[in-house]
Amino acid sequence: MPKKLVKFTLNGEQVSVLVAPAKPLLWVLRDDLGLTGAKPGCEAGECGACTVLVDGEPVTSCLMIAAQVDGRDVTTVEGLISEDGLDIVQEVFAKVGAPQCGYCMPGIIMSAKSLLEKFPDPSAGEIRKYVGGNICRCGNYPRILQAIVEAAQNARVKLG
Amino acid sequence: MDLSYAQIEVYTPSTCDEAMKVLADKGSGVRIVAGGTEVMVALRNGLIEQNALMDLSRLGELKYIRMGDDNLIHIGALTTLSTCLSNRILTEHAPILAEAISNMASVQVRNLGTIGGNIANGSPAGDTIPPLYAQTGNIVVSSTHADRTVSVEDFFLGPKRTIMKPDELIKEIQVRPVAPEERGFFKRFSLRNAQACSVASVAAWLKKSSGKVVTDARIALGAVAPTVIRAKGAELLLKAAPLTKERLWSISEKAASESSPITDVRATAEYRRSVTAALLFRGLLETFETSLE
Repeated sequence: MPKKLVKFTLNGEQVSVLVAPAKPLLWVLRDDLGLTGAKPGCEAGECGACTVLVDGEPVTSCLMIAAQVDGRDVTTVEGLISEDGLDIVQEVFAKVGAPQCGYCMPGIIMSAKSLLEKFPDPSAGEIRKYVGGNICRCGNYPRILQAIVEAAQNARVKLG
Repeated sequence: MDLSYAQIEVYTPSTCDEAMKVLADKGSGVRIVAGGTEVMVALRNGLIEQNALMDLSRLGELKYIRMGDDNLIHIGALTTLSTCLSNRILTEHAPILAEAISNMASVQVRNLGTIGGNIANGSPAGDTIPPLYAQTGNIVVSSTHADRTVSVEDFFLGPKRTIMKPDELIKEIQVRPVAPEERGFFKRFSLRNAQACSVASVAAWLKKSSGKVVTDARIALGAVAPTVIRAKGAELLLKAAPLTKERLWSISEKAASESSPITDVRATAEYRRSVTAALLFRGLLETFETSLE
C-alpha cells in the first residue's frame, strides 16, 4: 500500500511525513519523527504511557492512526520545553521525585498539563479521576499526586 | 511495527455521502474507524484482519447534540464521549446516559471514542447501551439507499452482532429526555474505576405517582446476557408494588434471575448475577429512600 504524506503541527512546528496511513501516531512520532517522549506501554489505550495532546486534548497516541492526524495540532512532552527551560509541571515532577523508573512520566505529565488547564485548583479526587487513565508501574502515586497539587499551586502563583 | 500497518489502505471521506459510497462499494471489505479505540486494539491483537479502514473522524456533520422538535435528543454518531459529557442538553436531559459515559475508560480514550462506535461495536458490556434501553433510544442507520430508524432493543442480535448490513453506518442516536418528575440511574461494577470493562451494569428509568407507587419502569441489564436486556419481570413487580426495602430486594433478585451471564476473565456467571441484584437494589434504594414504607 502506498505511503501517504501526512502534514500536521508538531510542538508548534509544521511537519510533513511520508508514512503508512494506518500507522499509529505513537510510532510515527517515535520512528519517523524521532520523538521518543511518548512511550509504548500496553498499546491498547489502557496504560496512558503514550499520552499526547491533539488539538489540546489528551489522547492515547497508540490508538490514533497517521491519517487521522493530518491537519491537526499535536503536542508531545518534548513540546513543553521552552526557551525558559522546563514547563512548571515538568519542574515540579522532578523536584518532588515523582518519577521512579520514569517510563510513565511523559504520559502523566501530559495528562497533568491538560488537567491544570481545566481545573486550575483541582481537588485530590479530581486529580485521581483525571489521571486515572495513566498507570505507574512503580506505584509512585502518592508523589505523583503531590507533584500535581504543587504544580497547580506554582502555576497559580505564577499567574498571580 | 511499520510492516503490519503498511498493508492497510485507509479511506478518509470528508462527507457522510462519500463514506456511504465507500461502504456500498467495499461492504465488509472495509472496517469503519470512528474513534479507533476498539478497532486499533482488535487489529493489534490479531482479532480482526483488515486490508482497508475507513476513518470517519472528519465527518463534522455527524458530530452534534440537539433537542429535536420531536422531543427527542439527537446525538450525531461521531460525537465523542468527552463531548457528550460536556454537553448540557445531555447532562440535564439524559442523566442516565451521562452518568454511564462519565465512568467509561479514561479521559484520553473518551476524547477519541464515539457514542456511535460504542454502539456499533455491539458488546453487551458497552456502557452506553443500557441507558439507551432505559431512556427509550433509537439508532438511525444509513446506506446509499435509505435511512432506517431502529429501536435500540431491536438493534443487537448477540455479542458483537447487530442488525447493520455491511453497507450501512450509524448516523444518529436518539434518546427520549428524562422529565423532571421522572427518575433514573446507572450503576456498574468493574474491577477498578478507570479503564475497566463492566462486570455488570444496571440502568433504570422510573416514573412514580404522587403516592408510593411506581407507575412505569424500564430496567436494563448490561454484561449479563448475549445482548443488553430488559428485566421485564422486575419492571412488572416494581409497578404497583408498595415500596418496602424487602420488596426492593426481591425485585432486584428477580432482575438477576432474568439474566443469563457467562463466566469469563472478569467474573463468574454466579458473581455477575449477585452483582446485578446488588446494583439494582442500591439504585432503587437511593431513588426511593425517602418514600419507603
